[in-house]
Amino acid sequence: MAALADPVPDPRIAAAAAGDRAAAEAIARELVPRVRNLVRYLLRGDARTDDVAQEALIAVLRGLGSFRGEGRFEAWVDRIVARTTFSTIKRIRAETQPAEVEAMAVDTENRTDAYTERRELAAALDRLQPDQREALVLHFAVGMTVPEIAETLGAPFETVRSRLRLGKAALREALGGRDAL
Amino acid sequence: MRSELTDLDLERMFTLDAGAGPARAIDAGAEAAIVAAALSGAGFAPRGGGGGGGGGAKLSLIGGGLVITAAIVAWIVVRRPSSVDRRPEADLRPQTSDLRLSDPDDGRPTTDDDPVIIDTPVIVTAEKPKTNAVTSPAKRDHHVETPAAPHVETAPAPAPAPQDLLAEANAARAAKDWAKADGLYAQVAGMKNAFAAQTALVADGQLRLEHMHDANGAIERFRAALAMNSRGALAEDARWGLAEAEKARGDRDAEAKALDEFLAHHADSPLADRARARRKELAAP
Repeated sequence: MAALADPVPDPRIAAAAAGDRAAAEAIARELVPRVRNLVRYLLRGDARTDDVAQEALIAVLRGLGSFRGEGRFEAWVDRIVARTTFSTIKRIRAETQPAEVEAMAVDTENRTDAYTERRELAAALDRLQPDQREALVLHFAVGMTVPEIAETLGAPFETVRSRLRLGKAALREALGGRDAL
Repeated sequence: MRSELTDLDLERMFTLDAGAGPARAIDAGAEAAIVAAALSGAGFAPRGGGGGGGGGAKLSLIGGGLVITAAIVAWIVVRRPSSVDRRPEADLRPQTSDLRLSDPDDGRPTTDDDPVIIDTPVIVTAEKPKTNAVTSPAKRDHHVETPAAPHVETAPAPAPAPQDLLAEANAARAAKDWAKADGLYAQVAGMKNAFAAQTALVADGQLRLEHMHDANGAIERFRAALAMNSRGALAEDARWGLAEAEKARGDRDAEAKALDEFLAHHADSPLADRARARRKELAAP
């Protein structure tokens, strides 16, 4: 992943944009865990994570030609993944009754502390209001500023600030019982 | 204490990297399946498929049909045959669950290593001697009694699976047998599997537009594809196809509207610049 995070654009990106399958495959392989993780942060429950991650990865690969190298490649990827995931969330909300959304089990057996911690964080996010969750993930995971979140979510600046404030309080509440993370 | 949770803590907790969750851990095979499907969905030809690469969506869309081929390939790669797929279906209901990579049985994504289930039952009947009547003119008068070979009787053949029909349609297309490809796509479009049906509708729309001079038929199919799933990898192709079909019909207003729709949904598409340029042309007096 270090190569993709380098300030000098990875030559594989241009190669993949020009149709080099091997380059595209190498990029996709490196990105897939990150994409799945971001999708899971944004999406309630595990059930649709891989479907949405796959759609997001397609969007990333199809958009490679539009990456200008003006920032970190991963940040560019994160924004595409977030956008794709939001589209899916809208669709899911239109199709699914809230009761149908699965509750997540935290599978902690034989896992690292970091994995367990993040699974618990995702489980806590699952209990938040969706708009608060989205604001929190965009801010803390994707690194967006409040104005960027406002633009991404199509919500007023003050609304986003409010969602972040309330979301943090709700997250603390949802994570209650664990002092050290 | 939770009340001491600072923004710094949250930044650390939300670290986004290549490992350690929060997505559920999956094995390398499942990850590879996601990558393979994404590559195909993005228009990169399968390894060893010739051509040295897909050229991304731009080539796929401009070339017409390639992305559909890729979608078909992706779909074939990630699906394993099931009895459900082999039943004749005539239900066009959108079934977004069919877009999933996960096997609903176990929640685990399928991989190339998964066993392929062949569900064509074979019935072997008991041997019994038979009299073969030879009916060629030269031998009409010479009835020859021969012991019959063991008779293997198969159960009535199930309806072909959608992936087989799509592969056959592709072959027909490659052979420039447009009518046959059209018929096969229509067959798949009537099946229950939404991903296959949508793929077939978009492919058939392109076929009608590019090779059968049937812009109206193309529009009908692109609209039907969008009605099944207005997002996802194939929606871009369908919306672009709609604009092209309206252009072919010479309906400038409808074309402008289709281009607006395309740009509203796919502003980052490799075709967006072309769409904007054409939109300007249409707006000019």
